Parts: sequence; structure tokens; C-alpha cells
Amino acid sequence: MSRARRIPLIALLGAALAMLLAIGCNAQEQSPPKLVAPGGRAEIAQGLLQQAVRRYGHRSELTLGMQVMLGENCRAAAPCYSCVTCHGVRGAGSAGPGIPRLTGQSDLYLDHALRSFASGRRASDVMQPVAKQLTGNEMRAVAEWCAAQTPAVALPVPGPLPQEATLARGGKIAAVGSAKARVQGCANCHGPAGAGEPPIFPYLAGQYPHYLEQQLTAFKQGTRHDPGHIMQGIAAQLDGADIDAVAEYFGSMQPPIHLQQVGIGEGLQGAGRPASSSIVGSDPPPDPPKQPHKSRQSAPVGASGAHASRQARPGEGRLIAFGGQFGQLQYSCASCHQLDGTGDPSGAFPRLAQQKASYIYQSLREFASGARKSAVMQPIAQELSDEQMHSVAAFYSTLRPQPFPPVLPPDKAAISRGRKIAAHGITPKGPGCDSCHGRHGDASPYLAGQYASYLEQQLKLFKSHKRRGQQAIIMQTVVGGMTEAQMRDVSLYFASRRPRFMAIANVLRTSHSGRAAPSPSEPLSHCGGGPGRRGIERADHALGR
Amino acid sequence: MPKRLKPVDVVLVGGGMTASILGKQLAEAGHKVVALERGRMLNTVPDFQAPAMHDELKYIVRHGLMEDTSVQTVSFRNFPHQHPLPMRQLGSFLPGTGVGGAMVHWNGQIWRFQPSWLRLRSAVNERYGRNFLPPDVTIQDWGVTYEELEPYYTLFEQVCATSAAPYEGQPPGELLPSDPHCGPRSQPYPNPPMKQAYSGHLYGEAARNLGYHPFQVPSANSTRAYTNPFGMTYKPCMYCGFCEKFGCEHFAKASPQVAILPVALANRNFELRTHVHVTRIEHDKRARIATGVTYVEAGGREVFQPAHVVALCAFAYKNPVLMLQSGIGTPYDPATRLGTIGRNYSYQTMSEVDVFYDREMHFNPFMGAGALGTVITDFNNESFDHAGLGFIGGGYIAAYQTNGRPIEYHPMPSDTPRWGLKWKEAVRKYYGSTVKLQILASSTPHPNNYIGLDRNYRDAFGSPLGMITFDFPDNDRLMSSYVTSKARDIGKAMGSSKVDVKWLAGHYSIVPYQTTHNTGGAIMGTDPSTSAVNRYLQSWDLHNLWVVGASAFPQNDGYNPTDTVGALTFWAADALVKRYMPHPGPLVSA
Repeated sequence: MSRARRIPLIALLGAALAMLLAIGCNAQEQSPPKLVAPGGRAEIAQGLLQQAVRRYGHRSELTLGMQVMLGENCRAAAPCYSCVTCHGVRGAGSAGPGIPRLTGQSDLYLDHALRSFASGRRASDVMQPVAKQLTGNEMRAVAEWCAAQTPAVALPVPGPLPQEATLARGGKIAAVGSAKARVQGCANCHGPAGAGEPPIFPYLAGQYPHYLEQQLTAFKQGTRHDPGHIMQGIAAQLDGADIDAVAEYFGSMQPPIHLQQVGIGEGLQGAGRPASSSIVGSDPPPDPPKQPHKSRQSAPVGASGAHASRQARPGEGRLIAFGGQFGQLQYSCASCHQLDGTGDPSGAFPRLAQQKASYIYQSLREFASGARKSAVMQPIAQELSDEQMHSVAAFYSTLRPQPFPPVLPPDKAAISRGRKIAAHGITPKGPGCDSCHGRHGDASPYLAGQYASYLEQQLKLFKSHKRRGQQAIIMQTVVGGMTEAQMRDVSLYFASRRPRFMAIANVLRTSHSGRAAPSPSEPLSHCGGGPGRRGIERADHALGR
Repeated sequence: MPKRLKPVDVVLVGGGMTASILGKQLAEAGHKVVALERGRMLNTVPDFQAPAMHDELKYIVRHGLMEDTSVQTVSFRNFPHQHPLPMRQLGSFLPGTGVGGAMVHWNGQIWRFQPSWLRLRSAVNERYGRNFLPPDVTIQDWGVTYEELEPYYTLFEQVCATSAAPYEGQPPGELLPSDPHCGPRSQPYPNPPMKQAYSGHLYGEAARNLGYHPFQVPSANSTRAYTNPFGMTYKPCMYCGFCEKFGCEHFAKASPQVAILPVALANRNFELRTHVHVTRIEHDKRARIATGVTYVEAGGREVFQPAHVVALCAFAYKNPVLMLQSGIGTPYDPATRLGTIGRNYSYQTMSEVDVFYDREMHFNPFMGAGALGTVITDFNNESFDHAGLGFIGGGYIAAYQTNGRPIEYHPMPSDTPRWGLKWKEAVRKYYGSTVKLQILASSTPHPNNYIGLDRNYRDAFGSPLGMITFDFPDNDRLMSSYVTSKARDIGKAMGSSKVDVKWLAGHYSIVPYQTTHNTGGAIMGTDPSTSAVNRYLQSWDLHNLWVVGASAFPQNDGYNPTDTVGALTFWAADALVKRYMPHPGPLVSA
């Protein structure tokens, strides 16, 4: 059906565009395009493309969709946004800020959503400029790309576990509706258990609760419309608790499509995976927390909990990272830095997880005052009160250890050169980075495991005196004599390191499947203390291995 | 000895649409009302929710929302000289069971009768002369006029969120075809018409080219979020194709539980008892009043509920059957043609034209709704001249796209084998490439067609079964042949390769489903010797007995009856509340 609709649309496009596309398609089918995406994304994307091609055959839309996804379809004149920054290579989205899961969603639905964003029918300050830069072909292509992806395993969403009563209430509304509110069950259109009724009705199972809540609220407030005005009518009659319950219920499920492990760990690594403090729930922190592990603790107290400021409230910090209650803040940290603080492999957004609270706080102060210049961070930091800065800092500093993306491919020679600079600086016996940042680069601010391109960029900023603020004078002196190649080497070295306090975290790169509390028969140590054989098996099962 | 309860002001026999209307209006006027429903409580949430509701086996094959024939049924014969046999399986018509009655599983096709139909005898005499029809076409005037009913039609259509043109808030520039042959309307419909299906579009084009006037069928499925005059909210129809024989999961199709009943139930004066079977209307022969009803509870205990007023709100033929079982009034006798109870039982005259395309048409029949259709009313009774035709009546011709349900829906030409490879090929070929033109035509009464009591068979409570004697009268056969031939002509103009005409042929059979439009048996009128109730639906025999529903139709028009039943019920409710309850007594002197 979607194909039938597509044909007349294509016919309507301008001849020039059609010709351009045709030429592009032919070229793409001959040889896959060279991708420049950083942080291993290109490799991930190529792998996903191969897989999609195996499943759906060679389709020019898939290649184009991949390029759009990675922001590599840029036409020179326009500033380019890439979907990948928020939605991930595959479109898995992220729980915290409510970036929706797009994997395996109907292409017709996604295409319609993009068109609605572009035309302004669906309001979004973020998505409108993104959608506007896309041509009709690109929208369709990126919609197909996401539709062709198998959903990543739904990982536990950070925060307190939803109450049983909430899930029961949500489940009831989902299945049969609410007599009191005069609302029919979601299943009538969105399929049994929220599995979706493609191509019109999106699946809801495994969609992020925060996103669902935002959307239902938008329908309720009339800021989002659907063609038949169905959802407005429904949302208008649901109260806040109903909306919350429905969102939590669908969020508690796995996405509907049968899981196939793709072998490329996008769901496990940096970009765009569902952010979670317990993505590596089976990864033990160095000092096991005393309280039993719960996958959605509101204020996770990890190994570095001592960093938390006294004024700081990590719970509030988490909320701010979400974008505040019901998105009252204009920006959310998690949209770029992820809720698990893993940042972005492109290096545009540094890792924050377990960064020292005082450093994060100081940076926010400097961004707010303009001492440290950033067009992105300044308005965000200015929105926060001093106490909120402390809270956000405390939240990110107290996160559980997070996994690291592999460095692909490791440039061993460069790393070796970088190691020498870290130890001794650029002079044969002088002091190196280690003297302040610690032997393994894990003192404040930690450098080990930080993204290479981020580190390199910062060194350049120090050298050109564009980064100021606390300690800047030292850094300006240190980097004064460094060549660009040296900056790159030392950045690559630190990126290849892992801070000691996270060393164990990297042992296991699998994840828990669901968010269910451990069964009574299961020793708690398997959850909180160490992975245990059983934990691994369960993770493997969830990943379909 | 039945348990005797405390008296109430009004007892309603039934828990469907008419009982909901009367219950709500009377309770709001301060009267203590009890409604008695034989089935179970049914609500949109959770009872009608999909996917459980979309169960063809349960609701179509096994009649999940319909009368259980092992408990109560009717016996049937075509002619008075035949031996009637009980209907042991539902077929031709589907009385509802459970709260909401048959209005739960209706299609939502909501039509007014034409003004002349309500005074048909006078209108025919005036236009065509007294000798136009043979004496056995026993049409009558209703005693109520279209002008009197019009405000109640309007109210009922608003209550049912009716979607048709012209509609409330229609922009002046938006030109939508509407029914050119209906009576005058005081207000537009509350909601815009349904979308047109491609099948309807093709049909409409062909009909327009032949000079007819196609438009979208008025639908009791709301097409937008809507709040009815009673404050009940509707949601838009999703065109899921599960209307008829199913409850609507979307709060979109009008049913008592969506439109009316919650208001009544919220009123402390209104009580609804389920799982009770009314067996008798008790009455005082000398005082000529009803004293209450006797019913059997779910546990088997017999209960007497005294009441100042009894209103029969059961399924159409069930009303006269209850009167006959209770010995009220004079039973109709086809031999003498005297008596009133059971008189003028009518039905609906159905025929069909199937238009098959050999090429793939993608009609997507699964995107449907009970009242999704394009229709012409150019062959309804009042729309054309009957001079020289020798019959009265007519019907509409509609291309409905009600469903594409996999078990039920597999249209194929009549010469297709009933099984095997050819059958399967035909299913594949014609599922998405068939347009069905339905001719829904009027039914005129005949002295042989009536409702009586069976002498041999009894129901689960020991009461004699109601007995239906019915065959299509000659007048309707002539009419059907005429209108069906017009439908065939339109079908042939639709550019298909094959047109199958299912003429009305042979005797009426109770086996294949036709419609649930059984009417008459306790008809309204101006003369107590030829009608059971007066123009307000008040019994001529017992002034505190009111008989509400399609049982009051002296003859059935070529439209679906629900709108008229609703309008008559509001009309009767007004008379009850405003005139009868303050001053009980006959509202029309015999």
C-alpha cells in the first residue's frame, strides 16, 4: 500500500530532482557511499545497511536514508542537522528526553510525521528545522531506513520503577479503555499489546514513556493533531494520571517486532541508544552499592557518590536532564549528552557520566557567564539556577559506570606517541598530562575514555585562547608548544584509555533485557554485585543470541 | 405465588433504545422507573473492545449479541393454512439480547420516512384514487404526521450524532449532495457526512449519469468528536468495518449505552434490572388498566412488579406477543380480518445487484462502516409516479461498503462452484473488486401476514411461542421487481464485466439473513378497530399500557426504521411526561 501511494508522489516531483536522484541512485548501487561519520558510526551504519539489503534487497532508498540519518546528505548552502545525533544510527531514540524510537516503525507513518513537521502541522522547535531541510525523497528514504531496522532491545528506563498499580491502570486503558473517561482501548487501533497496525497506526510497545507522555499531553492540549482528530478526542478525556499510566505501561514492554541481533552493538554503545543508568545493569560498579539494585533508582548512588555537592539533589538533576517536569525547560541535557551521560561519539558532546561534580558545575558556571564560549551551552546554562547546576552536576557525577564505544580502528602508533606525551609532555622529561589528570587520565576532569575529537577540539581551543575560565591559563601554557598532530595523538591515547573506576564496567558489554525486578529465587548479588552466569545468559537471550 | 415488590411509577419491558429514552425522560420528570432487560449488562468499555469484539465466529456465526433461541424464539410459516415450526436458529432477522438491544449491533443507517408514508392510505387515495390498489393491501394512516414528528426526528438524529449533509457548521461554499426526496428539515444534521468509498464513487458516477441524485447515506456513526444534547460524547468513526452484528468499540456508533443510557443510569429515579424475563403483563379487566408485570429472575424465582404505567419496549414482534400472551386486546384473526393485536406485521423487501469487475479494483472492503454508502432515493415511494404501475411503495438503492470481514465477506458470481479451486480463485479475484448494490424497499401489509401465538410450542418459561405468518405480498413483489431493474441498469452502467441480480424470488425464507426490520403487530392508528395503539402509542384497551417501537408501524417504508422508532419514542415520551402522567387516562377518545 505504501508503495502504491509512493508512485503518484514521485510523479509529482520536479523533473530535475528526479533526474538528480536517478543519477544518485545508480551511483549508490554501484558502490556504497563513503561515509565520514565519526565515532564508529560509519561502520555501524554500513553494517546495518548490509543487513537491510539482505532483508529487503538493494534499494536506493536505504542508502539515501542512511546518508540522511547520518547527516551526510548536506547540500552546501544549508546548515545540516543529522538525525543520528538524537535518534541514533538506527533510530533507537532515547528514553530520557523522550526521543522516540523509530526502529521498525511504519515508513508511511514516519514519512507523514516528517512532512507534518516540515509543514508545521506538527509543532516542534527541534524537528521543524530538521524536516524542512529534507526533500520529499529524503524524508521517504530516511523513513524507510528506520522502518527497515530491527528494534533495539528495550532497555530499562532510568528512574523509579513504575508502581504495579500504575502499570495495571495503564494496561487496562491500553486493552479495553476507560469507562469513566469514555475512552476506547488503545488496542483497537494500535493493535493488541500496542504492536501497531501498519502502515497507519504506529506501534507503542517499547516506546519511551516520556515521549508517549509528551505526545498524549500535546494531543490533549491541542498542539498535536492527527488527521482524523481521533487522538485529540481521546487524550482530552484522559487525565494526567491516565496518561502517565498508559505511557508507563507501553514503556514497560518490548518493541513488537521479533528481535534479531544484528551483531553491531549500536544498542550497546554510544549513539542514540536508550539512555539508562542501568544499561549495563549487570556491570558491577567497583564498590557494590549497599542497597539492593533496582533498575530504576531515582538517585543512583554509585562509586563516586562522594562527589555530590551538599546543595545538590541528584533526583532533581535527573529531572532537569530530562528537560524538567513536563518539559518545562527549553532544553534537556539528555538530548545531547544522553541521560546516561555517555555523550555522543561524534565528540560534539562529551561524556559526563561520573565526571567530577565540581568540574561539571564549574563548566556550567563558565558557560553561563560566557567565560567559556559555546552558542549551544550558554543559553542552556543560563536557564539553570545555581542550585540546579549543582543538581545536574551531582546527577551526572553519580551515575553508574557506562560502557565505552570501541575505537575503530585503533591507530596504535598514534596512541603510542600520545602515551609518551601524556607521561612526559612534549619535552623528553617534562611533566605530562598525568601530573594533573592522574596516571590513567582518571583524575578530575577525567580524560580517559573521553571522545578523541572532543579532546582534540578542546586542546585547540586552549591553544587559540578561545577556551578560558578556571585552570585555562595552565592549559594554554601546556598546549602552547603542541602541534596539531601531537594534540591528535594525545587525544587518541586518552580516548583509548578507560578510567580505573570504570575498568570493571567495560568487562561486560551486554545488557539486561527487561526491567523486571529480580525474581525472588535469584541472589541479589547477581544484580547488584556481579554479572553472574545467569545474568549473562539472560542478556544473551534478550539479544536473541 | 410470585414475590410481590413495591410498586413503581413506570415499568419498562426491555433495556434497549426505546426503554433508554423513556427511562431517561420519565426519570428526569421525577417518576420512579424500572427497566427490565432479559440479557446482561453491556458497555462500550470493556465489552465492545477490539480485538475481542472483532470475533466473527462469536458474534456473526454464534450470534453473541442476539436472542438465544433455546430460551425464547418464534415459530414461523408462510401462510395461515401451514403448520408453523419454531425458529431454532437465528437467520432472517436478529433480535438483540443484552442492554442496548438490537441497537448495539445495528449498522447505523438512520433514515426518516417520507412525509406521505405516515398518511399512506390518504395519500394514495388522493393521488391515485380509491381503486388504485386491491383491497388486500391494508395500508393505513399512522395518526401522526411528519410535521408533528419532525422535531423528534431532529432530536433523535442529534442524540445519534448523525453524519450527513447538510450538516451543522457546513461552510457555505461546500457543496455536498443531500437527499432530494426527504421531508423538510428544521435543522441540519449535527455532523458532516462520512467519507465516500471508491465503490460508492463509481456507483454515484453511474447513477448521476443516468439522471439520478446520489448522496452519502445518513450515518449514526459520528464523523467527528461530538457531544449530543444529553452531554454524551462521541468519537469519530474509524471505518473498521465491524458495525453490524458487533458493538462499536470507538464510542462512534450511536447505541443506547453511548448516547442515552448513562444519563438515565445516573438518575436515582431510574433502575435497570438485567437477567429478568417478563412473562406477563398483569391487568385488571374490569378497570381496564395494567397493574404491573410478572417476570422470572435469573435464579428462577417469579416476581410481580406492580406499576402505575407499563411500557412495552421489547423487540418489535415481542411487544404484540407479550400482549397476546397476557390476553390484552383482541387477537387478530386472518380468517375474519378482525382484531388488532398482531395485525399488519410487515418486514422489509430486500434485493441485491452485485457488480463484479474482472480487473483489480482495490475497493478495500475492509475499510467500511455500517452506514458507509452512496445512495439514491429516486425510487422511494414519494419520489416517483406510480400511475399505471399497479403497486405502491419503493426503496432506496445504495452501494454500501459495510465490511470486508474474512469469514463473512466473499462475494462471487452466482455461477461460481460452492467449493474447490474455482471457489478459491473467485474469493481472491472478487474480494476487492465487487460493488454490492442493496435495494432496501418498503413492505406493505397483507391480511395473511400477522403475529399470533403458536398452539404447539412453548418457550423456556412455559409461555406459548409467538408465531409469525409472513410471505411477500404481490404489491411488494411488483415494487421490488421495478426498483431492482433500475438498480440493475445502474449496475450495468458502472463499467463492470459481470452484473448479478438477486431478484426477490420464491417465498420468504426465515433462513438467510435479510434485515432485522420486523415491524407491526401492535400498530398505531386512528381507529381502535384497526389499530392497537393510538397516535401516542397508548393502548386503546388499557390506557396505562404503552407499546413503543417498530411494532407500531402500520407499514414499513423503504428506509431503515430506527430513526422513526427513535422519533416516535421521543414523541410518546413527551405525551407521557407532559400529558399522561399529570392526568392519567386515554389521550385520544376511542
